[in-house]
Amino acid sequence: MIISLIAAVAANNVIGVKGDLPWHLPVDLKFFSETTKGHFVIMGRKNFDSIPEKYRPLPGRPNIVVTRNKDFNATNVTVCASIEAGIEHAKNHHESEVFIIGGGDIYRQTIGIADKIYITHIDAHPEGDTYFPEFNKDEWTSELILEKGVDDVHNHAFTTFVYTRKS
Amino acid sequence: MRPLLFFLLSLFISTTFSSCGETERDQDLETLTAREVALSYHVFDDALREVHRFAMRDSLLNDTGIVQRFNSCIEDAYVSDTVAVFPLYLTINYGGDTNICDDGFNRFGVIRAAFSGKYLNKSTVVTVTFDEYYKDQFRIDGTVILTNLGLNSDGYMMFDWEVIDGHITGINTNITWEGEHEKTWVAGRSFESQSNVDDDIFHIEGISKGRNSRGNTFENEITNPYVADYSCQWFTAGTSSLDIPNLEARRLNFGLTTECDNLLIERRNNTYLEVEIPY
Repeated sequence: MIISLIAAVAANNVIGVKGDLPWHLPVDLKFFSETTKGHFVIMGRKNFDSIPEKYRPLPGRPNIVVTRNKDFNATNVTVCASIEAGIEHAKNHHESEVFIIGGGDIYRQTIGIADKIYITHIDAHPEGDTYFPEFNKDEWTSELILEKGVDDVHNHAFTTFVYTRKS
Repeated sequence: MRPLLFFLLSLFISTTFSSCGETERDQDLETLTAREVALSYHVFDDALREVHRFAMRDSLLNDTGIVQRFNSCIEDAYVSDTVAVFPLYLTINYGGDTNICDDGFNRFGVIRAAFSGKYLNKSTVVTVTFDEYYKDQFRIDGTVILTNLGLNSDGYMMFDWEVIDGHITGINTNITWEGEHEKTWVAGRSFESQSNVDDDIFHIEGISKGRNSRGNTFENEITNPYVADYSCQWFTAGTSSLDIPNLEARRLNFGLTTECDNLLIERRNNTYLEVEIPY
């Protein structure tokens, strides 16, 4: 099973501010939807809470929420006490590629075991409180898969790469 | 000498007149087909929404006891009779070409709908046709047949939605389109909310096929339901596989339901392209 991280990251590595995204990029959201559709997605509890209630769990893909809070309860999600348990759960369900979708702590804990990283590099330097971890790009091959300029609804340009760990 | 000359001559003719290299257009690099498939769904779904909005608020076509018109851009809208003896014929006349509707779209011309029975009754057939009807820059022609299939096992009302001889024309646009779909009414059907159409959500599944403005054929099969949330003019979610003969398979994705916009993603293996539905 491939373990993949997927994130939208600003030039200063910011990925979030106060539980929200510091940008509004519809095409990137559709890219996220297309890439993760049908696959298990694993997220931290705070990340799950940041999704508007109307839209969670994310449709069309099994949602795993990682939390140590035994009282946490949500409809139609699988709750796991650790990331390892979440990954094991996906593997036991014959998943081919599981996606780690954040937030910052979850990314930090999984980047060392990731096989692929899908990163949307956003041409912006927003203030934030959540960051994507640094990683050595020399250890990865990269492929450009999407690029988008500024327009009426996208206030930042972005490029999306898939990084694959060199064997 | 002669064989060599013949060979060279043959080579010249074959490379000059018979080469088969694909052009960018042949490869549909500009996402034309995806854009036109999405446009086709949008305009025919939009026309059905207009009929739905009227039918849900009219006591002759429904049982809500409410009679009201629903959009400021409509010049005239009426049902053919004042008593519920079917068939009844609905006419929605948007008038001339300066009618900006409440949702910001421009509609003009006429949508006609023949109801074989009450809209929400099982087996009712609604036949929709167009008379010089335009949505924004596009003229819409064709016949739409909506058949009420009653409730499914989950209690959701279902409709069969067929488009016959669909045609969308405009500047640089000439699309033929036909489709066979099922619509499932998954939210907003409770009696209390019947007159509030904006909370209605339909899931659409099925297959369409046609010919794009460059004459290439295509077939689109919905793999995860397109979501028509009536609080948004565009599909907010759903995926489909788009086949164009001799070209790499495409997948279309309208998103996660979180966004309301005219954008979708076309995926070809590891290449993702943005598609914008024109209006």
